[in-house]
Amino acid sequence: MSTTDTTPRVWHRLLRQPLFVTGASILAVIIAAALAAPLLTSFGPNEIDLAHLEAPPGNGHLLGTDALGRDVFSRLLHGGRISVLVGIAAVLLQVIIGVSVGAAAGYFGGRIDTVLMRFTEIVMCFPFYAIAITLAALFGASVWNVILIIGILNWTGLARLVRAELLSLREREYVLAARAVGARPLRVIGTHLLRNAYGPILVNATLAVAGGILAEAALSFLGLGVAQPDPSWGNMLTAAQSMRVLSSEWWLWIPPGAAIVLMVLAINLVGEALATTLAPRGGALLRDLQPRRALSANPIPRLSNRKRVTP
Amino acid sequence: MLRYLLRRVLIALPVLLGISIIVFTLVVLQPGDPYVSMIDPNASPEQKAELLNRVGYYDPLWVKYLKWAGRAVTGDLGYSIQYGAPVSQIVASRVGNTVLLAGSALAITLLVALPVGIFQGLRRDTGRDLIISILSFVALSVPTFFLGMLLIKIFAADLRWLPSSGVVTVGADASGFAGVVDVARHLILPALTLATVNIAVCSRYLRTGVSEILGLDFVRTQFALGAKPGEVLWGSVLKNAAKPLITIISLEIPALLSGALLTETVFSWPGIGRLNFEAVQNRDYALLMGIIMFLAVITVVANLLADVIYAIVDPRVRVAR
Repeated sequence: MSTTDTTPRVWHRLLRQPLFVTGASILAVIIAAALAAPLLTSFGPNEIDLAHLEAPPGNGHLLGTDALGRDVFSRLLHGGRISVLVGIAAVLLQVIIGVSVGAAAGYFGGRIDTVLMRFTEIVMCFPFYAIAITLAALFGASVWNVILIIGILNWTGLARLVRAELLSLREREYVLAARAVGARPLRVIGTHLLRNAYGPILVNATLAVAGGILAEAALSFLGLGVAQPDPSWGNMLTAAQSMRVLSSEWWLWIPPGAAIVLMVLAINLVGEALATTLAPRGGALLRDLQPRRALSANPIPRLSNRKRVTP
Repeated sequence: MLRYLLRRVLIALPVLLGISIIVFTLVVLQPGDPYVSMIDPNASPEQKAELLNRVGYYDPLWVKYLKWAGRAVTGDLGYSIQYGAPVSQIVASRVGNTVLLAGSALAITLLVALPVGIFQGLRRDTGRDLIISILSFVALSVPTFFLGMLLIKIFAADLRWLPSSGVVTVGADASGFAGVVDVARHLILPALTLATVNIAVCSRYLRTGVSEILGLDFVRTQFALGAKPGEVLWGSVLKNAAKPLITIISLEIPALLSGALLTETVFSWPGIGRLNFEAVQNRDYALLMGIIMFLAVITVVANLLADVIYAIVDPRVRVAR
């Protein structure tokens, strides 16, 4: 049951899925381009070219320049770094909070479980954008605050997932055996329980990165996320709040928007492929979009997974 | 059934209490003094202190909370200094627009998702199913506000078919049928924007539901006994595949209302979402708390409703726990 000997097989199965290969290739290209930004463009993200303000593509500027004469292509590449960083860092935070809460609730049960899950339900009832913009106004707009806000508000799904996995695993014989020989809770949770629940956690975390990138874009677009002059895909889109830019200066907002769509699509594809490989009960979309049943512990009754008989 | 209902309501109460305490703490932590614009700048410091004392500015936090909660229970959510009107009145004046937008989005969602999802369920793993699935993935990956801007660019700026913002044409003063048409024209783009993601979600659920139920024993038995495909589809398959959809839709409602924030901002649609954004920018504490509590209550109620409806259509749930 250890993860090491199954890993190569998982890779083989993943690499045979067109969804995974497509998604992973797009991801690789975007991330490589963002990391190699200085090699791909001679302009810095904040370098001002006074001769070309709001210029359409041309004159050495691959995607034109913005109102301050900054190169849009360069800002797109550097913005990618920040957007991807926010997505990944926010999910790390979600995983830390969600796995801790879920593992404690699922392992200890009883009163600890009740208190932790009631708290999770409260956080689940928060209207995300309403609370997020309040927090952003409270703490100020910056990269780290965006990460904190997204992380703090979105861990509940993971917590419930981890709790459910642990509840089903904790009565297994190897867990009882470990406890019988005196293993401490942290050791049991870490080496026995979480290791065997890594599939669903990984799927959930992968899809959460897409959610994080979308949330960063939305908050930055509203002017409450990554603050200028740092570029991010979301705050580049803010320019299109002006009708003039929206209708006639496509190079300022279509590229960052398209970058977000591509990135999120690629992550969703990878997540779907991971779900069918690691946790083959329904697609990733179904799992991720499991409605927020905040007040109820009843799961949506699962339908049988048998093959369809052609009528 | 009554006991089940009662238990659900009792679970909902502490959740609401918890949300209100956290929201209150959050909003009170905001920097800045919201009363600045209320006080005459020429007033003496003593007068200012006296005034602030009267509105409860110097009360300890828990007193402020109890005062607020006590009034909130009776429907009094406080007074917005920025708008010069009671919060409940401002929220009420905007909520109609958001309900109109969210309701239209929900209608579009069902109109598109039902046929598409059923089709996909029946033709699972065919070429056409794959194409629709890929389109669903794309729909799920587009940020709502970017989609909204694309629609404005294409249909409002380039083609000039539809208006790009607001609820009615300013200065047109259309009434009667012309007025309805005017609002409908303004509604199309934001409603489509809001509906797109939900179409992908709902059709996905239906696809799984339909194709899985088609493989169940009782369906096979019906076919074996000679039932017509149409009868089986409408009689048994859809009835069962639609069950999770009930839950999803009742849970989509709060998501539609609070998620309308970005759509409303892009289309300058004067609903709750935009009011929320304005409240943050104006540091309007009372209004902000009112809106967040309003959305949270709707979420809790919708959850409750989802559980109850589900318990009615699927009695197994009532005894499950």
